[in-house]
Formats: sequence, structure tokens, C-alpha cells
Amino acid sequence: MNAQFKRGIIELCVLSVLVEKDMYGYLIINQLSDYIDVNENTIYPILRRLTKEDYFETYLEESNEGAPRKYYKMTEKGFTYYLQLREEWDAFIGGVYQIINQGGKKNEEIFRRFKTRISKTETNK
Amino acid sequence: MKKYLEDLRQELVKQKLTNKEIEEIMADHEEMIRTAMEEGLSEEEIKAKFGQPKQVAEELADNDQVEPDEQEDNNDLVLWKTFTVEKDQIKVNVNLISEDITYQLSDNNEIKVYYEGNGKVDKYEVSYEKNEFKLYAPKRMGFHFSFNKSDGLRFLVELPKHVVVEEFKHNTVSSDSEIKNLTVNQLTINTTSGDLLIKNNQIDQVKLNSVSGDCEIKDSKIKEINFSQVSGDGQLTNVTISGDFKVNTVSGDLEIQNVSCDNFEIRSVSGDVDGKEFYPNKVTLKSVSGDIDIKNKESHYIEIVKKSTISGDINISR
Repeated sequence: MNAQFKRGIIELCVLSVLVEKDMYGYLIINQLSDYIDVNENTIYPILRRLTKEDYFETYLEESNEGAPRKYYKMTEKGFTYYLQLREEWDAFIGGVYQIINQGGKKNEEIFRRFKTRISKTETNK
Repeated sequence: MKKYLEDLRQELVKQKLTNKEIEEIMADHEEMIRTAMEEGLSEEEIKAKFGQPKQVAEELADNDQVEPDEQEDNNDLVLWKTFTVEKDQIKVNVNLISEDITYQLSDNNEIKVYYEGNGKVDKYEVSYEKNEFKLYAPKRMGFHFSFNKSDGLRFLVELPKHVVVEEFKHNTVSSDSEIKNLTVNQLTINTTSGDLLIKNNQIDQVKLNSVSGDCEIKDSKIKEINFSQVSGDGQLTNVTISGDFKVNTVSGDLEIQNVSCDNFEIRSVSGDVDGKEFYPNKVTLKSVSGDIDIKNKESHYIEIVKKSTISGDINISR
């Protein structure tokens, strides 16, 4: 996938998990890599950039295992940004599905319709 | 996992991130890897989850780049010369009289020189040899100095984005000059009455001499500044100076806002310093009647190293 495009999507994902609750770095990485093929070296730089842009604040909290962990907390600025990004995403992905579903929704169906169309053009010749 | 962290540090140093950044990033990674181990992940699993240190470092360095802003539109100007740059480091050497000039980034690996105005541009010496870009105004014979700006010229010089200007010399009599979006090791500027704007740059060392021109430095990261002015005023806004900030002024005032530095040293006859959100670690004042006034919201200890003045004073308040 185009790196720039992927980065944009991961950004939305990072924002989405932090809307839910405050989390520490490793947990954010886990939440994302459970569902999509992405690792730390893509997520961390995004997390750091969004923090620098004041979309997140950080604070330290003791953990049961001992050493304190750095938690990321979404700011109001971050939330506004998230809403805007989410809206753009929904509109975009909605449009994309409209387009790709034109040929049918299930593979078998797409294949069947494609085959009938091909055979029609063949007989027309 | 020690190897991963060691490699990461090396890559971060390679990308020339600041020490502060590197320490923060290292602390974050130590914490994340420790957590992964506490959750019982094997070394292999951790490796897969974290990926290549090199990639993280590169992404982080990309983040850190100062975003170029407000590039000047070059559409109305005449593209005069282009030079292809193959090296990462170049030198810039410019000598002008009254021609205004702007430096900014080009969109490829070329140095591009644009101009506008009716002046005789072919009389100018322009070259790029041995990694040095030169732009020289024609030497005038005798006293036939022309200060007539109407037939004057204005230049726009664009430098490739990937290059570091290791030595940047800019000398002018009355040209107004703007330097934007560049990375420079050593910047030396001499101007008599031209005004100067330095905006959104990363510079190691700045040496600035101005007689009556006003100088403004904005939104930049600088290691050291050596600033000398006679009657021109100076203005610094949103500048992070990691080292010393030295000023010599006769009657020019200095306005400083949102600036931090280590040592702030000023010699002044009657020029005053007005600082808001100005956070030097140490201050030295030598003046006849020049004052230093600093108003900061955050508490920050400023050590007064030396104060020798006849009627001037240092006031620091919140």
C-alpha cells in the first residue's frame, strides 16, 4: 500500500483508540496490530508527531509490574481533529465502496455477472 | 533486546536528532519493550512487533523537519540561471548593493536564480563551481554609484531541499534580504542599511552585522547567535537557541519574544532589551544606559552573571 496513504489510515486508527480511553504506548501498538498488519516502527512516529501537535498529552502512572508507564491522553484539539478526519474518512470510504460494489458484492456473484457479460459480447460478434 | 535499543540509538544519532529528542525516544522505547517482556513476549515476537530501528529513526527524522512555509511565488519572475547540485553540502557567497533578495527552497535538486526589474542582470557574476554558489553585483567604477531603485533588480534564489549550506555569506549595502526554510551551518550577514528577515531556518551559527538595517529572526532553531547592530533594531520571535546569544548594540533596541537560550550577553550604549517569554539561563549586561526588561509567565531561574552599567538596569518580573 502507498506509504503516505497507510500513514493517514494509521493516524485515524491511533486517534480512534485514544478517543475510547487513555493508553500507554505498547497497548496502543497491540490494539492496532491485533487487527491490521502494522508494527511499532510505523505507529510510534505517528504517536509522537500527534503528541507534538498537541493532539495528545502525556502523563506517567505507576503500573502493577513496577516501573511507571507513559499514558497518552487525547486533548480537545485532538478530538476536534479526530472528528474532522473521521468525517472525511467516512465520506471517502463510502464513495469507494459505492464504486467497487458496482460489479457485485460477493466474489461468486461478481464472477457470475462478469461471465454472462463476456458471453453476451462473444455472441454479439 | 539490548541490541535493538543500541541500534536504535545509533540510527537516531545518524539522523541528527537533538540529544533531548533522542533521550525521550529512547525512554519511550525502553518502556515499550519492557512492557512487552512483562507480558511474556519472546524475543522473536518482540522483533516482529517492533520492526527495524532504522525505519523508526527515518520516520521520526521526517517528522522533525521544519515544515517549509510561505514559499514565495516565483511565477512573475524571470528564471535566469539553474545549476544542478549533486553534493549534500554547498557554500553560498553573495555580494549585492541595493538589489532585494529572497532565499528559499527549490522543488528539485537545482539552484534556481530568478529576477525581476529592469536592471542589467547580465552585468552580474553568477556561478556554481566547486560546490560554491556565487552571485556578485558588478563592481562599480569610481563614484558612479547608482542608488536609483527604479531600475533596480530583485532576486529570488532557490536552493535544493536536501542540501545543507555549510557556509553562507551574504554582504549587502542596502538590499532588503529574506532567508527562509533553509538548513545552514554558518551564516554570516553584513548589511549597512538593508533590512533582514530570517524565517523558519535551522542554523548552527549566526553572525549578523547591521548598521542601520532592522533585523528580524522568526520561527527558527539556532545554536549560537552573534548579533551586532549600531542603530538598527532587532527582533526575535519564536526562536530556540541551544547555546549562547551575544549582542552588541549602540542605540538599536532589541525585542525578544518566545525565545530561550543559554547565555545572554549584551553590550549596549543606549539600546534596550524588551523580553517577553524570554528564558535565558544566564544574563550578562554591560551598558551605559541600556536596560534589560524581561516579563515571563513561567517561573525560570535566570542567573545574573555580571552587570556593569551606569544608569541601566536588569528587571525580571512575572
